[in-house]
Amino acid sequence: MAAKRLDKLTRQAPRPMGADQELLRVERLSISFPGRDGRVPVVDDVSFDIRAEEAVGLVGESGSGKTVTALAIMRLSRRPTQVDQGQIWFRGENLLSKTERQLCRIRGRFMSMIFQTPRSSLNPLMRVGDQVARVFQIQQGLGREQARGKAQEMLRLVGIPEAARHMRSYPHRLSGGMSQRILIAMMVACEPNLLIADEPTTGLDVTVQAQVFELIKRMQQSHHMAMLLITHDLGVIAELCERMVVMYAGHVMETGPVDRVFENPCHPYMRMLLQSVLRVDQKIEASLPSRGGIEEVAYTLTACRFAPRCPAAMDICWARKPATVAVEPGHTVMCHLYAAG
Amino acid sequence: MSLATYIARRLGLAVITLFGVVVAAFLLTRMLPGNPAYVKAGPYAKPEQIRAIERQMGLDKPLPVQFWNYFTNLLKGDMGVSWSTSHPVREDLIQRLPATVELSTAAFVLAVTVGLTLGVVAAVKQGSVIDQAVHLISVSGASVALFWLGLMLIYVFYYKLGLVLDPMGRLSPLMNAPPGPTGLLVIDTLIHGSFDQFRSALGHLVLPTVSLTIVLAPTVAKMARTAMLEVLQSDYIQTARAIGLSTARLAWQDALPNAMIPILTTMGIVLAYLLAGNVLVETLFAWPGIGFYAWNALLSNDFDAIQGFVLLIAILCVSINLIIDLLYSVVDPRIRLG
Amino acid sequence: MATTGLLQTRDHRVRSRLLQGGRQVLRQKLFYLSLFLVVGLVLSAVFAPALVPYQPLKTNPEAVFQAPSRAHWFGTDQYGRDMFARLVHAARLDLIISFSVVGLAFALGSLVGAISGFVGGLVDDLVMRIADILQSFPAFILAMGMTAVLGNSIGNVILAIGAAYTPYFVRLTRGEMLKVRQMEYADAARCAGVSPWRTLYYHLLPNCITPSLVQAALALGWAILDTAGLAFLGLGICPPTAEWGVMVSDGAKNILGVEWWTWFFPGLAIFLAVFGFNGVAEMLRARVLREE
Repeated sequence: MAAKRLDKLTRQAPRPMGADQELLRVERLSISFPGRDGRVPVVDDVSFDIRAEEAVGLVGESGSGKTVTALAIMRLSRRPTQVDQGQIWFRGENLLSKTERQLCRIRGRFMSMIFQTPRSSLNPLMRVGDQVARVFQIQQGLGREQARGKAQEMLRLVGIPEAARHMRSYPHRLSGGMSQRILIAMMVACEPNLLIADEPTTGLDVTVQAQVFELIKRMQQSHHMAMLLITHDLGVIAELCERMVVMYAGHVMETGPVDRVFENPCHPYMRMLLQSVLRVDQKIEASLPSRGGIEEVAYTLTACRFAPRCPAAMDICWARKPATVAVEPGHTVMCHLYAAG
Repeated sequence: MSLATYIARRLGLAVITLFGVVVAAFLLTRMLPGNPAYVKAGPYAKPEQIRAIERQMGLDKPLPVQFWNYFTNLLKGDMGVSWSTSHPVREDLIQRLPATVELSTAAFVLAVTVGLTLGVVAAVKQGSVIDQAVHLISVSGASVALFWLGLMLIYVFYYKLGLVLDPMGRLSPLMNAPPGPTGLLVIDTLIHGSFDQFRSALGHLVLPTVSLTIVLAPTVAKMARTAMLEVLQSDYIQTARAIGLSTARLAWQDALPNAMIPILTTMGIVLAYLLAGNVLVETLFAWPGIGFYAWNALLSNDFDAIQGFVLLIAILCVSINLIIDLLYSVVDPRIRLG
Repeated sequence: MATTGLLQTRDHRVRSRLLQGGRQVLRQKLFYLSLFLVVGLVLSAVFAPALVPYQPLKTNPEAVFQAPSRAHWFGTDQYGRDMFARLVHAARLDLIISFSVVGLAFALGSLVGAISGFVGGLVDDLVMRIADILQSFPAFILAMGMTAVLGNSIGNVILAIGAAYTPYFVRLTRGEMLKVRQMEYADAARCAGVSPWRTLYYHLLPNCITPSLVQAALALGWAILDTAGLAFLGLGICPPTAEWGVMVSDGAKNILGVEWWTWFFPGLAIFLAVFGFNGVAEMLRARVLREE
């Protein structure tokens, strides 16, 4: 009995971290994937950090390595993707050296992730309410009735109409937007320190997209979570995030406070992105110049990967990878245009 | 489509297939090259004798008439008469069916239990030593001749080790089977409280069951592994991991229930193997079920009995597949609720 | 305690590389073993009967039930016949039957399946219905029934088992044909004025049969099991013909005695042969999958 009570105590909500404390630090992360001729580095030497209760946007087009990075942070990478180098510090501990058992205690409770395809991300055989309730049962050791009560509350919180009735619904009956709300409920249930949202509105209607983003932001603020929002939509970044990280072909090209990066875009890629955004909520892909995409870039480890598409490419860009420099406090860029000397 | 439509469609299909099965069973003995009357009469029969037998078997009438007679008889429950036991085939089969049911059920339950476990573990620990061991066992189990395996088990456990008291039959010849309600000796003896008989029945059941299990479980394991591997790639499994479920828990709580749907389909195949294997096992262990009956019928060219047996097996297979498909609709809410 | 499986955890880099290497090595070894078994089997079947000094049917009342020795490598049976001679002759017979069965089922099944898938419509429905009905009988039971009616001979066994296997190939080829029919080159050929039968034969058919090849390899093994099973029951191949199932059946009479070699070796031969074919089928399947 005593052991059970102790166990229950250790399953309480994570102790809140003071705002501005470093929560997540990705250091020189490299991830590769087997290709036809050996391993392809899909993420190369990526570094960035996230503070407690901070909303960071990770932006880039498809193929830039955003999702792969996020999955690596959650330690959900699927074979044969593997982390080759680097460290991921979370709450002061290196996630890459943790066992699966230890990671199970971290996931869901301290960090969680919302995926791209909500409809297929819910167990088709389990009622939606039970799936949310289960999170409470696992992470907080609640009994079934208690967990169900909290689950219903969560459903109401994320804006599901007629929460009590929908507790008993099966996922295939729900729309994309509703499914995503359920997922958000599951992932926010235990008030994790870090919420990763990987393109959470893929495949949803435009109006529903706005609602989902608004919901995510609301949840983040009310539950005092840090957020890593992955998207290719600059408008969303501008709305919801405080800092941003720009990725291209597996590299971090630029990082910094959102308003600074928007006002003073340093990297040619960032400039290109801003120029081609005709309306705030338009996706990047549709309007990028079609001068070759990431797939055509040979994954060389030495040169700047943006060189083939860069309007400002110089000879050195093909020869050597640029160093990352700070153009102003908190605002870094990896480009030869800004390299010292 | 709605549940009612699904069930109706499935039932309709089953009825058509059953009718086709009856036609096929009929054609089996009527239309194949080689006059069954010749075989029945033996190599030394005179032409008049063969013609008499033909008339007796109804072979002198046109084919559709023969089929009509056959079909109408079947509907009345008449499957002909076994000329080795002199009883109606239907009676013979019904009398021996419980023995086969007992053996088949025991083997099925054991094979599925072992197979599912192996398959799930192999899938979860994909690439590990366990996975490779399971793979090796699967291929080996599928390569071994059932009757040879049975012989080896008899040799090792009865002849050499003396662990099993008597490999033949269902019960010690000194004992009388209880009149019991089910016909399944293991259950009946328990109901009647005769523990000696229970032990004897169980002891006789062991070797045939294990033989069948060793040959069937690998197939189940392979199918379970494939289904589990596919399910484990699903997005909702990723979600389960993301909320902190341990691999073991999500394998049994999330993955397996979803994998059961494709696994159920393959159960039909396992059952077909089981029924086929039954004949060999019953013959080897002198287990008095319908398989043993069929073997005796084969030896004595008892065509009505053979035909009845083959038809019964096919009907069982179709029925079981139907039940499995209907089970689908119960298990999967996407079908049940539409 | 690091786990293997779908996740990368502690020492993931080193461990997963080792495992991938290890897994490949074992798979490779298994393939080579299977190939070795099959090739060995075929070679024995072809050459050994000529090389072994004994005749499979020749009885020798003075050498009854001899244990394996230098004179008789696998011993002798109840009639004094040399087991080794009988084993290799049985190998020849079983292989002939097996290849004939699969040849028949493959050729007939693929043709019917391809045409059925190609033509579609009512013909296709009918063919699939018939295949369904035939597959409602377990293959062994169907073969059993047919052999009982047709009578015991090698030809009848081949016919019976071949007929039982045909629906599988019909179904496989038809499925592939349905997929392949959609593809562009069929349309292109039609546009170029090629007659539909030519299209079927030259363009579509070759592309439909690949999965059937894997099934064919598996069926080679099943055919041996089924032939032996029928023989064990007294159907199809009968004593004194040397066939593995017949030999096990003969040897089974001695199960409660010391003459284990009379039933053990034939069964072992079956196991090795089928294991070999199964392994080769796995290899084919892996290759087919890789190409896709």
